[in-house]
Amino acid sequence: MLFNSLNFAIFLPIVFLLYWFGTNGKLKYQNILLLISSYFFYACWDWRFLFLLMFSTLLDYFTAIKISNTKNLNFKKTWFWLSISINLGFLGLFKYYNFFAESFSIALKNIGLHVNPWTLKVILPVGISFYTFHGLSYIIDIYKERIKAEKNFIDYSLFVSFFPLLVAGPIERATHLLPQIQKKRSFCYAKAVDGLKQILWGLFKKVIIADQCADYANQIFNNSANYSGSTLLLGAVFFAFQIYGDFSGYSDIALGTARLFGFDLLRNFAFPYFSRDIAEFWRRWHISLSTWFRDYLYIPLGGSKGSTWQKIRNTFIIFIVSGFWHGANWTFIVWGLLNALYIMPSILFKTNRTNLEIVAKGKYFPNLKDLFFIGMTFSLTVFAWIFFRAENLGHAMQYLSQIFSKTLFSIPSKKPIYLFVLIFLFIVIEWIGREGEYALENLFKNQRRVKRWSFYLFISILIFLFQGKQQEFIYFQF
Amino acid sequence: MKTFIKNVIIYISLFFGLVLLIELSTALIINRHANFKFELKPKYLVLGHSHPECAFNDSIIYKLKNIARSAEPYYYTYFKLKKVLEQNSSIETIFIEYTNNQINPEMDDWTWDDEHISSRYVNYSPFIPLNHQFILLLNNPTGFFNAFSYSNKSKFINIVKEDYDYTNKLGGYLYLVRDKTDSILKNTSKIDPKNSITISKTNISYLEKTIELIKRHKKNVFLIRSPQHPKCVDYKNETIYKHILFSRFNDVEYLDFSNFPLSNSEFGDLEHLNHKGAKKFSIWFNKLIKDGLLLKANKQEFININIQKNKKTIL
Repeated sequence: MLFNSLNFAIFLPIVFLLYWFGTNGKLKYQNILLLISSYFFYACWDWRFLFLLMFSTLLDYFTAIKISNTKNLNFKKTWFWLSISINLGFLGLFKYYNFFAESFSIALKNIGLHVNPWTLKVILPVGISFYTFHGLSYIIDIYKERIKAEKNFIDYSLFVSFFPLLVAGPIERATHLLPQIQKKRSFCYAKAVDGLKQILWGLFKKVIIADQCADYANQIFNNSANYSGSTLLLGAVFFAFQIYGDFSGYSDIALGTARLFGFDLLRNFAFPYFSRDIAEFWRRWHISLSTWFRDYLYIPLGGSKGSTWQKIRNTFIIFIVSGFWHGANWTFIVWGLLNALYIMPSILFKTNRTNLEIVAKGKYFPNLKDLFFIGMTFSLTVFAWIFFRAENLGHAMQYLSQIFSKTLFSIPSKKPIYLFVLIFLFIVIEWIGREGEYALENLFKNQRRVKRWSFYLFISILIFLFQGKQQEFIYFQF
Repeated sequence: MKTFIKNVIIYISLFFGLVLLIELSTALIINRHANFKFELKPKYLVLGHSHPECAFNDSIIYKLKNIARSAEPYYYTYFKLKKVLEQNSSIETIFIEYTNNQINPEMDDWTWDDEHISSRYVNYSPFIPLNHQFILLLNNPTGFFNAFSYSNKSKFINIVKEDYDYTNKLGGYLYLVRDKTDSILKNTSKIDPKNSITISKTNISYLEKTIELIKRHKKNVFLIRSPQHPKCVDYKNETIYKHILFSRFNDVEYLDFSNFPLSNSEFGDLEHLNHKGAKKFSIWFNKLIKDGLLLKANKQEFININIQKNKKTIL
């Protein structure tokens, strides 16, 4: 069930009404209803993988209790590693097994040995990377004694499976979401309206920006040999907007949906394309994953403490793992490596925390310096996105070599004027709203209802007109 | 909570009101300006799906316009014809393909399934009244909503571009190059006659509506069956096919060209003529019209005699 589908448009109001009217305001019933709805939501993709989700939930629930209850360090370690191994084992099996088997086979072929590797012929269970990371953070937090094991199975299951975040995040932490699950929730008008506004903006990003850009980005990337350098560059820029609109749009819908039920999920995007350096970009892009890696990988490895060599090592590890998390393909690893290279100077020269403030806060326009650095950062990310989008490394190299040819200075063969207008409109709205949590949060806030609603209706009509065929969200494949 | 629900309902009502306004106003503008007038001033018109689309080469047949279109069920043909008849008074005779597969239930799917609704509905939506659109909505709500929004965008763009010419969006002769008949025949088993009673309800009812429309315009109408390969699997429902023809369309003359003799290399596959077959058939059909086919009392007999007479030369 896609967030931008008719099915979800029917599902959401039903769950909403049952939640606020059918549970008598009782927390227990509310959580049970949300859990059943979440399992139904997940089963709409493939009911068979629901058992995998339930198994993963059961495993972490019981091992967490075992870890929490024992004083014996060896037992603790055993339960901890058992849970980590099984969680990562499933993820590895479904997501990475074929990649390793095929890479191993190619490596053997290069030394003259021919093997036909046995490969898995199953689809990747949707959301496995996300709910596995939920479980992992929970187990690690229990092991490190940051939190206590959750005894209520329904509450824990809901933490793992809450439908707005189940298939593509944000990657939640037990310390943040579990207390909200356990706390009595009552309806808040302002919060619900805010939720609807965020859903609307998420749909705008997905349907108007991501899906429209996808049409052109796909055409250009899939037939890259036939296009000029300038068209390929434009294709890469379209992909940059596609992936941002797609993923941040999904996150906005997820956060907005959760708000309708009284939950505040972790913020996942904070206007990353207005970043002035790569470190700032990574503080604003896929925040829940970046902070996950920071807290559970980078800091345990030593973070930015230690020798220069350790800093370099830690930075490369975190970005390579982050690239690999996205999928079993060398393109993602190179994408991660590139980002590590981009961020390295600021880590080494300790300038990675220079731009913590919102750009041009309280002003209408950025100054020339900020504008220049925003442009530079955007160009670097677009360059890296080429690897992320390419089918394989060969494709990425061919794409890049064609960009940096004489045809770079020709007029692009694709010039969708309407899309340029839409992207411009999008950038303007995001810029105006960059001080809020999402662009629409404070826009028209103190204006009369007629003005506000006219604007929202304009956005809704645009979404309706451009809806067309529903496209899946890119991050579902991760 | 009450205020929230009340406001949501008002917002949704306003939204749907606006959508309806866009739908009606764009349809009205397009209906007013849409051009369906053929420069050729045709006397004869061919309608249907891919079978006549590939069979009638209208550059060979005098004053004939082929506006058949692949995978087009009668539902869309009906609305297309309505506009064509309004603007083309030169048309005297209309040939509508009525072949074996057009009674199959899959034809109803072709009317509203995701694959077909997205292209067909978007093209003809300005000319389909809301009460008829309801059929699509009931049978495939998701597909309809997607196509509905896409059609509004397409109408909007057409208005902005002032693109009201529909004469090149109605279908037309398809020059089929492929020749897969021999390879298909190798893998085709014997045709088992089928007497199952499942038939396409919507498709057949729109054929009836189409015939009524033609009669209201006082034009001649014929149901035809284009040539198809003798081993075409569609023949399996021949008994039911004929039963429907005689029971529901007994007031319309039926011209059967299905046994027009052609070699395997003149078929694209078992159902469609390729360009070689279309050329041969169209030359023959043109002569048949010139020889006064439409004035004969027993037209099918005339067709059969001509097929037999020419069989030696054709083969």
